[in-house]
Amino acid sequence: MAILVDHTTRVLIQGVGRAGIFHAEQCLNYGTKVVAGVTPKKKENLPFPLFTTVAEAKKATGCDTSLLFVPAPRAAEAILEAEAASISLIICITEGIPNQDMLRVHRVLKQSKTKLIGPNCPGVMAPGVAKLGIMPDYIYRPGCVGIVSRSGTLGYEAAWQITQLGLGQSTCVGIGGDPLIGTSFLEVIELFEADPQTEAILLVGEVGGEEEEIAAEWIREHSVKPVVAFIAGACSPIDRRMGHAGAMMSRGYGACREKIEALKEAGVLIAPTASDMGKRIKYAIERRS
Amino acid sequence: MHLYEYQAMAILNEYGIGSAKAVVVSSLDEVDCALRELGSSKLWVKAQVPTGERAKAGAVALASSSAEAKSLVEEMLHKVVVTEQTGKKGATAKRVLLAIAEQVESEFYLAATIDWHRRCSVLLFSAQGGTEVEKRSILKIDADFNRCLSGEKKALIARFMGWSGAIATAGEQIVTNLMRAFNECDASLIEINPLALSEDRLIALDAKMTIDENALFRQPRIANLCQEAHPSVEEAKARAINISYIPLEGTIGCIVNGAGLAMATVDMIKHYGGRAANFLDIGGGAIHTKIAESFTLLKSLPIRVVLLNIFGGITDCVALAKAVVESQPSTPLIIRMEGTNAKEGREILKKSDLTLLFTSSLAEAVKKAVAVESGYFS
Repeated sequence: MAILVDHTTRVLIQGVGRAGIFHAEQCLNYGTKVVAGVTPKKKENLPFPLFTTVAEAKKATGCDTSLLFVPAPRAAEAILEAEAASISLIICITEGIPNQDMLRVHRVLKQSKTKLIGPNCPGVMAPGVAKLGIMPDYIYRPGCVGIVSRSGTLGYEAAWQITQLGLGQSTCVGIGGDPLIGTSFLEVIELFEADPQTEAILLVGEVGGEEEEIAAEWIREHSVKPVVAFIAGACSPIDRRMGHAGAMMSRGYGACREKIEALKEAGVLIAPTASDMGKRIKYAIERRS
Repeated sequence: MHLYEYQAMAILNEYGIGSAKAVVVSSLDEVDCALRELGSSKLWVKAQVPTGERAKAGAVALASSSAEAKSLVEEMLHKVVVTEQTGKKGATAKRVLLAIAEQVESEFYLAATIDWHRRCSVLLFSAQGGTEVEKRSILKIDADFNRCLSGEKKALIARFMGWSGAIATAGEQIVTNLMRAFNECDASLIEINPLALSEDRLIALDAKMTIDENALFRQPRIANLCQEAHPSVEEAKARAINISYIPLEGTIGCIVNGAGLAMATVDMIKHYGGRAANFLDIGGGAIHTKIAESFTLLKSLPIRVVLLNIFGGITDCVALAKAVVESQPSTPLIIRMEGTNAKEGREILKKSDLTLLFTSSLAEAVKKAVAVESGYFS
């Protein structure tokens, strides 16, 4: 089935610079319906029509999903423009968006139906269905494992291991490396649990924040499908310098060990190193059947 | 990016949040002049290092005479301060702040920061500031810092803090100024601990300010302040071209694309019994400069082998391979290269005259690197 995207998804490219054009063409080659681009500048010879606003693009092409490459200083503005034009899903590849800008985006999204993936993410890949992002496509094949990852390249590593073991992926979602991302582990896992194509879920997390712990709580209460996790950063020092304020607001400092404990208590299988992700998920699937 | 106390205080002063009179010195020669300017012999002497818990580490002390102040400055200046937050390496105090020790009747805690999980800005209050404040009763208020606080919230704050009359008015103004400073400086944290009641004034006796690095492009003045706060020349150079670099203690050099994969690589090296010399994430984009700079950075470490772990998505392995060849690294390279144009990238590397070993899996690459480090492989 794939989550978030399917073969009818109509994609708009926001930010038609060199990166935007290159990746839009890669997505088109994969079979994704890239139907429009939005840019203030005039450009020639692109395989999709260009518009100056998202609203115009939507009216002319019926695009429902935006793949956003607008540079950091203006990316939040572009996200808000897409939301105002009722784009249902925005996938923001751009990294380096200031926190304050993202806080403004979140204030709007809290009252909106628009979903945001990212920022600072590689995008969403539904093998054999649609590619909305910057990932290398040869590493994926259609299958039953849902992957959700904070890290881009570690997410590719996970997919490649799974493909090499003869399995495949239902959907791979890069939620992004920033703290103020639009969609959390929890939200994606909920979608995977409800998706008939997904039989097992791989969570690729890392030190910092508490998203993994929050997902673990939900998994403990609600998960039916096997979940495997790998958490990067066992050797990374945690940033204690948020000091009192940090301690006042979160349950811990976001250390690896705490995340792994919380996930284990929720019945999640842990991959001990990054090279064990594929093997662990294969084991989890076989154990289940 | 963490600012020094004296920098944070200067910014707060600009935003109408007062502090005790203070002078910062960076050499012993400046102390006499500072003492004259301050005109008081009861002084707080504070090493300027970007960490909390300075008092525990002896980096903050009270002087009751000029002579004592001078000797404390001498003790602290250019010395390394080690706290739980700095880690073993510690931080060097390039400057010491001398501040008049004001009479303090009570100490409060006030902070503006971001609740990352709930994706909103918050104000934090405690009526009992000072150490271990997180164990006391805390008031947390969600607020859009672009808007004025409602009358209700203001009353709640005053009640919680035990402020009334003129103090409540002053406190309210400080909170307003704090929110404005937070917004205009693109802060992620401004913490005033303690905010002291001293002779009917509320003044900041210590301040911590963390600036959002993603916003430095639109904060030129603050970006200059931040320049000074870098841990080392190498790390500063790396940051300038968007490489994340942290030296560690081992002899296996790492060059990886992506922070998660880079951390996982360091973890795996440890798992297989080796020691990484560094964490290094080259990120995406401008590959040529980044690769050249990465090898330069690694030259400053006692490296026996370099593990190049690349999974190219946005990164083109051909461009990366060419950059590696041009950099002419002298240390043996263990290469694991997958992703966009990986095959072509590997071909380019094979044709070069570099000492290389290709591996097809991450585990194999790490195990080989560990073997070379321990000398079982030549």
